[in-house]
Amino acid sequence: MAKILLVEDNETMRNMLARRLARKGYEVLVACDGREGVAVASRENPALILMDLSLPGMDGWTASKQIKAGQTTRHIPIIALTAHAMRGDREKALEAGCDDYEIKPVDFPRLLSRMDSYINSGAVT
Amino acid sequence: MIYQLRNERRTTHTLLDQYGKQLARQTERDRWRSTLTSAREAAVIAEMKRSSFAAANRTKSEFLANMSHELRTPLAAIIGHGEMMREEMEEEGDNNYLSDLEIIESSSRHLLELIDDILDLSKIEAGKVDIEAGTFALAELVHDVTPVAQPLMAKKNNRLTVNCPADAGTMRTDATKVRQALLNLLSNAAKFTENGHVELDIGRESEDGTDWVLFRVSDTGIGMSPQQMGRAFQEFTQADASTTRKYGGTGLGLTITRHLCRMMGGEIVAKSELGKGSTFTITLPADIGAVVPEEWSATVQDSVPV
Repeated sequence: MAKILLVEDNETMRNMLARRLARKGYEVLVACDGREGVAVASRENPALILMDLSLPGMDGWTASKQIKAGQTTRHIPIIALTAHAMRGDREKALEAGCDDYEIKPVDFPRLLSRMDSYINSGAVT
Repeated sequence: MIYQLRNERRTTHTLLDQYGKQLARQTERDRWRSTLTSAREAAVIAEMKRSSFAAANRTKSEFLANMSHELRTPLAAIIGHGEMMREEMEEEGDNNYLSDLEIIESSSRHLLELIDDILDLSKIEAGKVDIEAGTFALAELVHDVTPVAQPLMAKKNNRLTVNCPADAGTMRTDATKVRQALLNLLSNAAKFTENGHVELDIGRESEDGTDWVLFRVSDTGIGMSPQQMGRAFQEFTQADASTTRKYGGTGLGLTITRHLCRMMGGEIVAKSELGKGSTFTITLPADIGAVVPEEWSATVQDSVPV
């Protein structure tokens, strides 16, 4: 099953999402901030990244930009997890190179189908 | 001597007279001055009151915006864990607490909806909502809105018809806000109609040299009495107290929608009859630049065309 990376600083949310994704058969790697996210992405080459945006230290926008600028990581689809409350989050996420965004709290079935379509379209090309 | 005295008296009289006149002028001036001063003071006080009221209102709205964000985080954890427990129980065939978990989930989703609406409203009131004007095709807007509205219709077995003429053309305004306003109206229509019909009509009109775009959302639902209609756009007011229990919603949707319409230089009107359905019509200038919005938001920026 596909290996994915979840970048999320909130421990409760990270554990919850990781557990649900693992139950759906994904191998879930986790990172707590942007810097760790970039490092894990280039080391593990996951099939997809779920990126929270407001992270301590290096935020999700910067991390996405770096991943999309990296030779070995630019092909990895990134779905940003945005908080509704933050104005302009989505636009900024797409500008930073994220392929898509989901608003938190995530609609899990929809997230799964988005992930599936990115991972499978990636597998074909 | 007499002459001298007389002369002096005259002088004294003249002096007294002059002095008296001067005194009168002085008093008049003083009166004016004090009137002016008090008017000026009153103006200053009024300005201070106005600006401190505006500041207080801004502070309140900013507080609400921050609070809403803080409230969402734990709520997201409640919703997520509720869903996770339900998923795991379903997989394990344990049905004992499913209905209880569903209540936790639907109540927390309702709370989330309320927080989102309060946040939207507080941002509008704080003047923190920018208008991003862009040119887009109406057909494209309808194409965006319909798939989002469709599942809402299915919940109560309603049929949605969309009438967008082929020559509907384009408009230049904030597409995101038009979409939000339309979805608010469509979700209301879906909520208050059962086994019925919801229709979205799009049209154009020209008046006094200005082009207007009309969006009409009509339903065959429960409708409103004249009194209920009078309250429809007020914050936290639904038809009556039982409405929220029975139909859900926050009572903020129409207030927000009206704010959005006015921000874009338009208006929304309602027509309804109890038991016979409701019609909401949004009228917006086809070009936001053509009309000075009644409710001016922070800024109007030109965005990249959609």
